[in-house]
Amino acid sequence: MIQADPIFRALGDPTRRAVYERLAAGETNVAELTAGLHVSQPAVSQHLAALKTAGLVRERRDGRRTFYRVEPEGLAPLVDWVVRTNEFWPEHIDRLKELLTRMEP
Amino acid sequence: MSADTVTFETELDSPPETVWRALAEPALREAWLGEGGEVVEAQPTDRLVLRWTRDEPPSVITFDLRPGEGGGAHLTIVHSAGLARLAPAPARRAATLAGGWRMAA
Repeated sequence: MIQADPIFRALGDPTRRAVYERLAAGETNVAELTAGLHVSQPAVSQHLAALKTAGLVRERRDGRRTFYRVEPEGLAPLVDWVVRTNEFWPEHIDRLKELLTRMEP
Repeated sequence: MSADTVTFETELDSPPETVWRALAEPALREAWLGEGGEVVEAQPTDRLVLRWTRDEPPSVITFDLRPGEGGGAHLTIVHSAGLARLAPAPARRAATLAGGWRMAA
């Protein structure tokens, strides 16, 4: 099981992925994000909220300003999947080879 | 190579026709891989694509088969968690995104 449903829903949207991509380059605020993306500020805010809900983005308040950055642990479920899948295949390839030795050519 | 994809390559002693049966015939496939594979594309004896329902959301496993050395077969297994499938992005964009993920992790 990936158990990464929220990650997939959050990053399934191309614009949201673009927002995430930009945040991966460093902390920034909504205004700066909006300037680079050619979408409305409310739309960017909505995408940020979805990314926050998915645990992919963290916010930091400084007075009246809010800054956003990538949550380093956010992609952990996906990383876990890659680790598990890397362990899954060698064992199953061995099983395939064993089965093939028992099959008629 | 994307951040949500695992790839394995293996040389098999059996000819592609035999390996194909081990991949495509449900009873044989389940003997080495277990249950959870739904066939979404089958091009005998070159390519089999499975929707892998043991992951949630389901991932995608692609087997590419071609003749190997000495009458054997060369099998490439590409197992993708499926982010790109949810929202297809141009290759260049996907590569940038993968870079962003590595930075984030």
